[in-house]
Amino acid sequence: MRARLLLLSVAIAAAVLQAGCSGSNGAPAISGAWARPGPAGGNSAAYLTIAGTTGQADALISASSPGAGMVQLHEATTDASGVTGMHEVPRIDVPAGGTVQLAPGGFHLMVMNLTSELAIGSKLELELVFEHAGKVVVQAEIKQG
Amino acid sequence: MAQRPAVSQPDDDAARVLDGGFWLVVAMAAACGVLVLATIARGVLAPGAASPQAAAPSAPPLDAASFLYPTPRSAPPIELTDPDAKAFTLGSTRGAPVLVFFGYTHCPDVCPATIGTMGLAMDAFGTGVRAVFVTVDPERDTTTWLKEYVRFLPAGFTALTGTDAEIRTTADAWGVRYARVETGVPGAYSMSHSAEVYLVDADGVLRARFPFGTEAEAMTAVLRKVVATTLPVAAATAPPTSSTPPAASAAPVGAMDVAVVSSAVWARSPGPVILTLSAAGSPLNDPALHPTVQLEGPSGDAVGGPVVATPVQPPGVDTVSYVASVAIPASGDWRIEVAATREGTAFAGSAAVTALDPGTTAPLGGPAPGVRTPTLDDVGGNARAVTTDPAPDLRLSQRSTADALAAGQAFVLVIDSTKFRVSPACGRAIVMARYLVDRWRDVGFIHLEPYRYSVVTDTPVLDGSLDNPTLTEPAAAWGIGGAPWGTRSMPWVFVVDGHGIVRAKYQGVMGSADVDVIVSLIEQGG
Repeated sequence: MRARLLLLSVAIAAAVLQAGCSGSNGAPAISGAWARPGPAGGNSAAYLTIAGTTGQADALISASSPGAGMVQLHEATTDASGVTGMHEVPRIDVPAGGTVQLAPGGFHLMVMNLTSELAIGSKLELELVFEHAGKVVVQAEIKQG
Repeated sequence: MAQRPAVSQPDDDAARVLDGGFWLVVAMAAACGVLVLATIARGVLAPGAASPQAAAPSAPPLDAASFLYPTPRSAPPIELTDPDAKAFTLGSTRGAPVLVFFGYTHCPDVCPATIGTMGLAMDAFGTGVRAVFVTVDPERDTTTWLKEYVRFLPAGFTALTGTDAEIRTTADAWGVRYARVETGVPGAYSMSHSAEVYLVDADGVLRARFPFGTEAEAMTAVLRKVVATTLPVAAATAPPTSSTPPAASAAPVGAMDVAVVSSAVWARSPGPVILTLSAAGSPLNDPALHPTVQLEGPSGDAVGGPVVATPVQPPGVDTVSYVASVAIPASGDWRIEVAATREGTAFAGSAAVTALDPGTTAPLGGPAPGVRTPTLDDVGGNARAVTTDPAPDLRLSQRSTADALAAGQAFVLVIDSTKFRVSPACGRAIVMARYLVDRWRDVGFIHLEPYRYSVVTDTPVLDGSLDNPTLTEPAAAWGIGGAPWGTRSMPWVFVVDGHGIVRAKYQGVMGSADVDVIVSLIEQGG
């Protein structure tokens, strides 16, 4: 009985923790978060995979980090003459039950004005804001792509 | 100015990928690297390069030959400054193959991805390969900053910077295009730039070019092939090390570096050529200087008469640009000779300029089409009917071009679509307008969707197909869609003065500083 109660309370605690992390029910699942190393005052890019876990479509609408002056949602593009550039996008849609990958050469989180150096092996905290699910905090591993 | 190949025929598959359709975006993300490679390979390389079908998860078959220049030539010179503030010349790397890449250190995605790939290729090859990273952002990438940044570069890399003019001259010689793109956040501009990697062999001959997205394995394979095949000496013409800047050749008194910073220079009607000038490594930021500009043909003969350039210094900008209205008879490669006298000293220099064929677009120096672009009021306040931007800046939909013309107001017309994207440059012109509208409150910034669409349950749905989209009536009235620029050549920007005259136009990638200078010229009454 005690064991069962303990199990139950652990389960409840886990559920509460999970809810606490995601800010609300049905937050998209974030996996494989990583960011590039960079010097203090410089920029980095963060990448991750977002999986819609509920029946509802959602969208990543903003991001921030205590380790950076600003974080923007960006998309890198290349035109037919080989010129690349990037621009801010207002949102990155996550379909119900679908997956979006932020990966080099496409969507990424532009991490600007690093407050301190991002060294390989360290972590960068990212706070993602979804249209419906609200805030989700993830730790991005610092590594070379 | 660098060449601008085949922009008028954006790749079909690129367009589909960037269509904005959600599943395509997912697909792009999933197969991003391979798709980008396949897309670019089709757009840039010779026929026979990787096909779109190569967008399978498995690596495409390596075809080293597709990266090689069919007719190798001496590598253009690089004479810049390393992080220790020491002079660097590409000639100093003779004896080792060198990979060359132009980028900037505040670039978080494309540049580190490419530099990482170069590092992997160099490691896989073994020892003896060097790499050169040339910044296209000398303002932020000073020697001091580069010294901090080199720690983040793989072994064997040299990072280089220089003055604005030195960087522009070097990039032009390599055919590298770049432009500053403001984000609206002070100091947080980004750079659009060519992101190819070049391979120079141990004899200083430019042998191969890798488009962005090329895998490290392909670079290594090409490195091996190039190192294994020594070209006949005849293939290597004059060594680049002994070259002197073209500006110095005809210097009567003081040599002057001339940089053409226009994103687009057009043939036929007289149009603006924006120059920055420097002498002895320092910019000639003299707002009282009126340089003389003479167009020259391929054999150095003068074409037309000399014109006097107007100094322009937009508010809050350090650089003084000089704008000359030059009539270039036909598209192609030309030169301009520039002469100026300052404090009793005569300066002279020259620069290459590439003129584009304007096709049927509204001629520079001619009246703006009197067509009415739809405003928010025209469509009952339904933003979706005038813009496909999901988070539109409604300031760009308040006035019609017809209103501005009637009021004698200068305006910038931005023909671009956030949703119906036929080239990856799409959407960027709108971002630029959002930045500039805050700088120029008296100038009308007007956004026009290029393609006809309907709004179905609050969602813009294109009429027909993106392969062959139908232009909106106002877009067609500006003459876009005709050869050599098809309906899928987007975006376009037209700058019109208070007299209703078209003063500048841009296609594809355009620098916000460039448009800023033209608007500034118009506002100062030039």
